[in-house]
Amino acid sequence: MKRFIALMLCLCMAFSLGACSVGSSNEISGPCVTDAAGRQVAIPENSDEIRIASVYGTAVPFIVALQLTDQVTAINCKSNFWKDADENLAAAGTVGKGVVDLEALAASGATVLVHRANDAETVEAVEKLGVDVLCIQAEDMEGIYSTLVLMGDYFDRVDRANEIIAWMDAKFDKIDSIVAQIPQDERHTALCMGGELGRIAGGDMIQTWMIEKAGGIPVAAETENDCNWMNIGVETVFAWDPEYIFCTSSASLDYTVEEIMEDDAWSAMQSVKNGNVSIIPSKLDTWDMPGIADVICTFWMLHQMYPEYFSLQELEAEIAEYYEFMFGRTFDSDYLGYELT
Amino acid sequence: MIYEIKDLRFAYPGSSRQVLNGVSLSIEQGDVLSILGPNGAGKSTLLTCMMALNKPQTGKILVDGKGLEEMTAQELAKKVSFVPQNLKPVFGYTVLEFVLMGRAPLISALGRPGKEDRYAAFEALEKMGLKDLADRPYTEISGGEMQQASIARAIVRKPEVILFDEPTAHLDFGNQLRTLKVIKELSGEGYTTVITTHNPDHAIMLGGRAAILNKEGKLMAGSTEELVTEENLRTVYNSELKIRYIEELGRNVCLYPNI
Amino acid sequence: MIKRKNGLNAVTLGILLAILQLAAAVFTVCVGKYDIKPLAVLKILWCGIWGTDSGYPLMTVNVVLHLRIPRILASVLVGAALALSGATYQGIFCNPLISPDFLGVSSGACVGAALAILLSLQSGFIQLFAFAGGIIAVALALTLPVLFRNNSNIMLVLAGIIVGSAMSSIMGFIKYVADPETQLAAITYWTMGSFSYISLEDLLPTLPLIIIPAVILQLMSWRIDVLSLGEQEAQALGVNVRLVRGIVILCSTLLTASSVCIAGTISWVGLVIPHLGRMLVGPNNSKLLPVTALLGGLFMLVVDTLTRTVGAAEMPISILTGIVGAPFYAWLLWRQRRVAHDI
Repeated sequence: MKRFIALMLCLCMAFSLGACSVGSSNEISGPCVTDAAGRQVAIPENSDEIRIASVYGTAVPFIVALQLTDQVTAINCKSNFWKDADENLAAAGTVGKGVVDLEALAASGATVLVHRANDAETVEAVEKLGVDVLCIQAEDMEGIYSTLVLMGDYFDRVDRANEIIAWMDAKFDKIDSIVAQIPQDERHTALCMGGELGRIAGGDMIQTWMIEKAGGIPVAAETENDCNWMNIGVETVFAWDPEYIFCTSSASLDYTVEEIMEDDAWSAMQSVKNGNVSIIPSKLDTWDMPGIADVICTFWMLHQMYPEYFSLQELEAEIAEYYEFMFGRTFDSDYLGYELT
Repeated sequence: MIYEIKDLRFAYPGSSRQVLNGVSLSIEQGDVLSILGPNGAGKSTLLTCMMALNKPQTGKILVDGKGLEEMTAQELAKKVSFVPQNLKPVFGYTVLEFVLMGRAPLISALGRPGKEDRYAAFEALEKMGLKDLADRPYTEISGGEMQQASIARAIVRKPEVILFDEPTAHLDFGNQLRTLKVIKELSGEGYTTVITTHNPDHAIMLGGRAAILNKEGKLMAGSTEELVTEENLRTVYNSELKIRYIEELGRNVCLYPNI
Repeated sequence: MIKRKNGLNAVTLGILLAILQLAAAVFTVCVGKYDIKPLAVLKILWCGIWGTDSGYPLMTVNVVLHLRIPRILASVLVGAALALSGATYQGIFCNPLISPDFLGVSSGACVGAALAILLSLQSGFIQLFAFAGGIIAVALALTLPVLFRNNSNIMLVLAGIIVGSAMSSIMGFIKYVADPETQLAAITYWTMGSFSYISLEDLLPTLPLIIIPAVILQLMSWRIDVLSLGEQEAQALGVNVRLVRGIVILCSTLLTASSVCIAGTISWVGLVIPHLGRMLVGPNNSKLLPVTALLGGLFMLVVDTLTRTVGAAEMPISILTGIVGAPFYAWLLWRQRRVAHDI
């Protein structure tokens, strides 16, 4: 036993000495970006040779929007929609669904991992492997814009990034101008509900931002929970009694709209009486996930709350334009899984 | 005096019954003492107190003049061995390994049995007739053999006193006889032997001294001949036990009356 | 040297296992999702020891030296530590059904780690908190018998149950408060055990915390034998039961806490491997402990290699030890049925 221990000790020391001598350099020379975790990441010289891996579902819309899918080796798509729409993504492998499988990452040949910003452990482990990590934060509109800029700089897609930003700005300006026409006394209150009854999007979440952008009065504006869903309780929702309830499609719901409409407890709510409880489209492509699709989500909310100011046809046109812009084609509403009223 | 017990009082925590109620007893070196008493009287408790496994509320126990509270477990175990009543083997040590454990008080904390210890263990096994079972798992031998192994373990370190807690309790007649014989032999070799027993006849067979512990926790002691009388047995066991002299055996015998 | 009937000579077995262990380590360092030829691996290892350049691409070198080697070392160490800890606990508590976490060390360590994750601390702190949590839980479990003035084994088992339950409740609360998107997932994943992100820097500080207690336990192995006869019997044999038990618990706790803070909770190893060891060499701890340690290391190595090579996603290791361990345990018990006693 003691001999075995001594042998193991020697081996350990030998390996640790060896391992220490093969370290990764900490010097960054040349152009670099500062990612969402505050880290300096060197911009690769040849952007065509970049190979992207990610386990972070939120990164996918950005990769698609910036037309980087042909450089993806491993991806985690929250919905099959992305793989169906893009053959490059369909062909890509996977290195995990939230936790990175380091060896699979090494085997994938990726040169950069696009990851969420608050996971220092993964960043450390991946960097040790010699793979770059680009941390992004896209929880709010500011984050979405800065992610576009960051990724545009890193992947040398500055023009396309600017194009997207300009497009989004234009669309939001359009929404602003429509909303400006709506008099104050016609404004409606609204709330975004999460995967459970009584779980809502707080004031710091993107859904609340979109409600306000679309001319609504968000009842949850004063609350906040670190950009996370809040279990505020059904009673508080009753107390607020919003005129419109939008149910998220970014999480699976453990209830249905029909159940709410038929529930006696909810029957006194304005939203139920007027039939204004609806699920944000679509089943396949989540519009209220942080990303460029937030544009059409806002348009949709605008139409739901103020159909006289923004008609169904106008909404359908915007939806079509969005998909053309992102994918160069349109998708059937049946395929995506939504119904417009 | 190897054991001096003065005015011992003991009750189990949470129980109102005074198991030992002012028990005093002195045991000389070389004595063979049989402790009798009805079921649940507290005979085992007395032994466990003597082995410092239970702490009495009041009273003093002195071994070779030194109080038990002043002795470490190791010190006491060097002088006194304890053969427990029920052995519940969980792990299958070999009989030799089991007997070797009896040398624990003589082996240092981080040590292991050495040649001398093994030699003593083989000797003890030989004496108890268990040499052939030396590397059998202790869990695979019969009840009688287990008892013998226990005794071997008790003598392997050559203590001065051996305490036996109901040594014949779970044995058949043959094994009971064998055990009593061994105890008598050990006594003859100079060990001080103390046993607790239900059977007055065993006390008579062993001779020497006896003590009777009653349900009130009181003890009376004396020579076996003087103490084990029909009256005393009637008081203790509430039965008309008979003591008769059997010529063939050359001794008194304790007998059941007719049912 | 006593040969058990139908058993193996312990020294021979020990040497055999040690060789097997080394061979397995060498084999497993050559397998993985990243394809590397065995010869290349060996060359990289050799150059790694001497600090020279092996001429292979950095990624390949990194996979061997930074991914696989630490993982292999970690799994062998953790397997050995858990098995040792289980064997000694089973000995001093005279109960072959006890696992190393019955005093609550694993649940305590998980609470510590969960707290660190909740406070968004770095991985070094997670380890520290986990370790502290494990020690605190055991300390609590050991104080209860003192408060109740009952030092028996049964009291300790009860104290372990109480502390374990209390830790579970605290864990539940932490999980409730944690952010479900990121922190909860991290906590759950950590709790289930994984060797994925091990680095040598994580491993080296815990090395003495595993090796020193292991050596102490081996030195005390005969005393543990005596203790395994039962508290009363051991005391009647002159053993200072409280002291020996205390030292063994301390050493075992260090072993288990270190294991948990390296790799999260891993179940079954501390329960099953000692049984296997006993089947092979008997309950005599001076033979059992080294054999158990080697078996544990080997077992863990094999299981961890399976988790990282089989299947697309890496399975948390507790799942696999459970899948392998539970039927294996049933088989062990079935084989031993003719010797079934008070189990």
